[in-house]
Parts: sequence; C-alpha cells; structure tokens
Amino acid sequence: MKEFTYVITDEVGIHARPAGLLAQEAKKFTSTVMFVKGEKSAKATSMMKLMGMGIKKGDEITVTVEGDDEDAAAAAIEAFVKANL
Amino acid sequence: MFGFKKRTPEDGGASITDKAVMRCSAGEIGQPVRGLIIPFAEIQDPVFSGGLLGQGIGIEPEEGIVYAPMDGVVSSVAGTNHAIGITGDGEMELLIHVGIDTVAMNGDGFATFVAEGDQVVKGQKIMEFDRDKIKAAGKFETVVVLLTNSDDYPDFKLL
Repeated sequence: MKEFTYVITDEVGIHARPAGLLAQEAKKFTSTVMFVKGEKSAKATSMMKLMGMGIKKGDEITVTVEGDDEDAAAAAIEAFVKANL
Repeated sequence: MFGFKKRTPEDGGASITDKAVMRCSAGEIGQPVRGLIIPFAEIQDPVFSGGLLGQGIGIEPEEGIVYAPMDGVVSSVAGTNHAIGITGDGEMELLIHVGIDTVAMNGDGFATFVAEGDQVVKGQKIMEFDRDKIKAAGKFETVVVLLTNSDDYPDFKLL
C-alpha cells in the first residue's frame, strides 16, 4: 500500500469540478484510492463521496492507494492533488 | 432543432419534478427546477458539457427554486450552498449544481434547506437561489443536473 498526506491549499477545497476530475483520474487505475480526513473517508472514484467529505482549505488529507498498479496510481493522484488542490 | 425536446414551465407547486428527465434501471429522475431544458453539449463549461463527469441535462431556470428530483439521502451540500448531491435508489449519485463557476460567489445568493444525511422526498424544496445575483456576478445561471455515476447504468437514458 502507498500512502501520502497533503494539506489543501485551494481556496474552495474539493468542490464539484475538482472532485469530478479527481474521480476520472482515479478510474484510470485498478488500485483502490481512498481519501481520508479525520474519521471520514471516501473512494476517490466517487465524485459525490469526495464532495461529501467537505474538504476545505487548510485540511490535511491522507490518501491511500492499494492494488496492482499502486505505484503508478499513487504518483498520478499525488500529481493531480498538488496541481489542483 | 437538435433532436432534444423543448420543455415549458408548469404552474404551481413542485409538480415540475413529476416530469422525468432521466431514467435508468435504478429509477427515474425528475426535473428539479422550472425552466428550459438544454442538452449537455450547450452548457458553457467544458468539464460538464464534455460528459466527463457523467451524463445529464442543463436547465435555463425560470425560477430560483430547486426541488429534490427523486427520493434519497443528501450526500453533500457545497460549503458555498450552490450545489447539492443526493444519493437515490440503487446508489444513483445525482448532483444539482446551480450556475456555472458560481463557486466563486462564495454562497452569496444561495440558500439550502437540507444538510448532509437528511432524507429528502421527491418534490421537496431543497434550495433557493437569487437569479439576479448570479447575473450580476457575470455568471451563467444554467442549472446542471448530473448523474455522476451514469457510467454504472448501461440502460441510462435522457428523456
């Protein structure tokens, strides 16, 4: 399993557009990508569940990636998060 | 003209949601806002119009009220109150997003009447928005109604 943490710097956090694009990115891989904030977690492939986490600027999130292509998936998701969130 | 049906607003109550706009094996989704239905391709936002985030419709609103278009549980309310997600029967994940790029309005002009986890019934008023404020902010007021997991339903159909 791969894991990284990130602190959100985007002013509005994970709203519709980034959540949707992130879900698309996560769907490119077979690994399970989870976003975790405190007690809440969501599969990154679900735009709605990502939005439901209410992730805002300043929040620290942990992303876990597990599966056959976890190295590539973790790298892609980390790059996406840094570029967009 | 482009193979889509023009719809006209109805009078009175939340009866607008009786009009189904999408259907799949999991159920039917009604029209949440009175106004003219436009095809996704005409929405002034490439992320939505490209269908990348799921299939759905746009509505050019004639009234600033959003009704729940199906029974379900509120799965997300944007911190800025301009978007509401509802999870319905068979895990349908529906997003109603009012206006294009209205996240930038920071909640001004939007009021929601439900919170995450609330049960909603079809026809229930869930949001009001101020059309004049959206226009004054220089944004398109198109309401985007999006089944974010439409890919999961091979029989998904716009009506």
